[in-house]
Amino acid sequence: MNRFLKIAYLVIFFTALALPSLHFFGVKESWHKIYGAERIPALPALTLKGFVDRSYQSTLTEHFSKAFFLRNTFYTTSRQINELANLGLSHPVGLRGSRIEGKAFDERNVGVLFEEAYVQYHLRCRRDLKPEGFDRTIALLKDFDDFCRTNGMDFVFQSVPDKLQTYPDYLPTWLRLCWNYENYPIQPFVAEVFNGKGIKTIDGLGLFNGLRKETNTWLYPPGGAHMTCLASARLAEEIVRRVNAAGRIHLDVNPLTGVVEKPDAVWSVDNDISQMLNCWWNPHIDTNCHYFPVFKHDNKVMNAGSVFVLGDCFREQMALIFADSGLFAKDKIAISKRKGQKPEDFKDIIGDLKLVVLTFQSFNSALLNDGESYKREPDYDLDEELKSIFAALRTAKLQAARR
Amino acid sequence: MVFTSTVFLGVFLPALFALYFLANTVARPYVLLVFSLLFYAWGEPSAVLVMIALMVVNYGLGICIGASRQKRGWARLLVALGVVIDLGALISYKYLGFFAANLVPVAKLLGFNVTVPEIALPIGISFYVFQILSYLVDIYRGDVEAQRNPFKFMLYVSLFPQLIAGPIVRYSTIAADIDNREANFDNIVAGVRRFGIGLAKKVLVADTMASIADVVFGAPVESIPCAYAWIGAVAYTLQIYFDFSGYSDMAIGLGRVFNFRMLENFDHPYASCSVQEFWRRWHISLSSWFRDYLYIPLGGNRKGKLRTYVNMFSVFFLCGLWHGAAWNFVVWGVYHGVGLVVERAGLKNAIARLPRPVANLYLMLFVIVGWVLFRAPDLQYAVGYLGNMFGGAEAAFTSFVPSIEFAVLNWFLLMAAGVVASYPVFDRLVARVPEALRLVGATVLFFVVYMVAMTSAYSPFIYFRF
Repeated sequence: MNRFLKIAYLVIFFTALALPSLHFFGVKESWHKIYGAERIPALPALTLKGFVDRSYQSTLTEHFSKAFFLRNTFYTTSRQINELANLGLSHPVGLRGSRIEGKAFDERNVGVLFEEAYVQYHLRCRRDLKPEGFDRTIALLKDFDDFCRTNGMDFVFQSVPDKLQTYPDYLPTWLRLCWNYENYPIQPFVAEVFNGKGIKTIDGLGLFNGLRKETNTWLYPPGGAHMTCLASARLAEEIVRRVNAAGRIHLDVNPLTGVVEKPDAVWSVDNDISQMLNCWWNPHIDTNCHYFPVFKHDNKVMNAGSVFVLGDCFREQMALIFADSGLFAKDKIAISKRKGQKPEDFKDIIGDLKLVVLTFQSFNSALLNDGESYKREPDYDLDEELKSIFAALRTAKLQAARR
Repeated sequence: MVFTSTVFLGVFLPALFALYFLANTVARPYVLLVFSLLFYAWGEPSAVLVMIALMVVNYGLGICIGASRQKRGWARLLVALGVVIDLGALISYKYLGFFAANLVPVAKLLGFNVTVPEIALPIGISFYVFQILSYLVDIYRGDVEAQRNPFKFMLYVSLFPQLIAGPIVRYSTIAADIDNREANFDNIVAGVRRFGIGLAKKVLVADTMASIADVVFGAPVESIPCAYAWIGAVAYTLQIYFDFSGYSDMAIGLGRVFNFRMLENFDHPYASCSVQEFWRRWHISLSSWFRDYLYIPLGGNRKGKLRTYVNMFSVFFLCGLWHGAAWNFVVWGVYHGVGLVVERAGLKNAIARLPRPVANLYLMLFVIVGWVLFRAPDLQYAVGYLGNMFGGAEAAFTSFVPSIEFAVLNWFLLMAAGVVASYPVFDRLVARVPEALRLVGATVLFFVVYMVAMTSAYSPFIYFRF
């Protein structure tokens, strides 16, 4: 009996070890199907150079970890074991949702809409809206708006709802009660106040709520913290609608795709840049998604006037990706610095800049916390970010005017 | 290469097992050697050259020392040469930057300009250098014969299971095994089971405890309330034990599969009742190395009380330094050295009169404080952290609190299980289960662990950096 069990144990052990290697022998179809939305790096030829500079090692590791055909099953089972192991006291808010087309995301989060830590973090960060913080932000944005208007530019502020605001109905009741969710989505209120002060503000939450009634497509995917293409496109269309309504400039929208056709007139400060990257970095998904908030993806250098100023973490890396993508002229990409944006960063685009769009997903948390919980995370320091960009932009505009 | 990585589990091991067991007994050592070098070169290809260079030099030195054993002076000189070369390599790669960085302020005062060299540390150098040193000294002492086959000597030094994180295997332990390349069914089963247990310790316990400890120790020290500071310290205490003993289990298990019988490296250290007992149970291969190759040659306890204390203190100072070129490791070593000296000076008598659970509580308190010194990024942080633990820092809401609460809620059962599994009672309970059931349990456990390992994020072993 024991000998039989020992043999069985060894068979299971060695079979398990051999499983990942099976794809070498022609089972590629199955994982291609499973990973249709994820790019699996091809196995490079084994060369001494690749081995010595370690590029081969990293590619092989990534290849194996993504190509393993039981990966989804293993993830799901691991999660279920995890729930059993903690008696179900803590668990991710799971969904049996299908994978989102056109969205590359971490496989470990397949089927998970929220992690409790994420939920608790954001809900517990909630503070009462402090008038002094709110007023300071309004004053800053108003100043920005005045500056833009007097210099022939439109300014639009767009608050982007986060995942919690978009899908509160998926939260477990106890979490909503426990953390007083009702006070969390303040966007309609903020939009009302800002619009009342003359700052053109788009209430992203209103848009998203409307969109949820129209379509079953996810605006935030299970397994991802960034918007889907549909959500990005809807926000982009709203910006276009507002800009056109103002009449100062006119942006055409491609009737098929909704893509803005005059990107050279638009400057976007976007804190959630990956929502755009997600749309184009993956070659598998081109046909499913053509949307960008303000730019069209056509695999060409867009134009001479396009400049992105990235307003979030990873900005340097993202700028490099943009530079390598060929989508934008390399010398037209400005990187917003954490603090101390320089006027020369804008000198190449300042002349034909017609519109400044500020989209801010973290705005909700930043404002509610009056910066308190984000003081150690300068990426989320709204005031500093805006002050820095604003000051540099104003100086650049003045310099351009003098010339 | 990391034992828990997909490449190791899914490519390296299957390929090695297939080629090794298909090869005849003559070819098997060479298959192992090639795979061991590949295993080492995977992480940092250039570092393998350093190891090969040391192997070549020490192989020659071993032969010469063995041949000149009758001429003690000559043999002693060769051993000294080996020590200088091997420790020279270790110091150059591991400590030069540290020494230089500490010399900079002094040099500046004296008007010199000292630049701190940036030298990449060859992984596992502390382990294989100590193995090589023990090999030379054991030949000199006449405990072992020098290995005449250079490839078998290279296999001893580079044997992949214990190459980069121990245990430190003395040549005498596996000298006979190197030539025994027969496949043994019972050894394979026992080895694979041990490997599975080690994998479970690492993947299920150590990595999850790390998810708690990393959050706490990653927070600004002034924001960590007392309770969370304790949770973080306990989590790290469990993490480092299950991480390192898990690695040792995997190394011993893999060694067993290939017929190498390595000595145990851990014996429930957290069940100890004194610092002295702790060091007899923790990282046994290292503590016994220091005992046999440093403490005893220094005179051990044979030259009076004061000299004994100085010897103990020196050994633990160096033990701390061995763990890393940073002041917190040195302080950690000194802390343990002082603990040992104090116990030896009389405290051990008082401890002996305490009920065992109380004595164990004393030891655990001592050890946990030590791990805070060990884990903290620097001394200032460590002092602040200990202040929070013992000063009753008030709870304040900070951004990391939900994360730590989430982690604790998620893993409290595992944490409790980890505490229980740290004590011998757990092994005793398991031993009472019939063998057949244990095998079924081992199969299920392996499958679960394998599943988690294949889907988990990168998780390097703590002791890799030493």
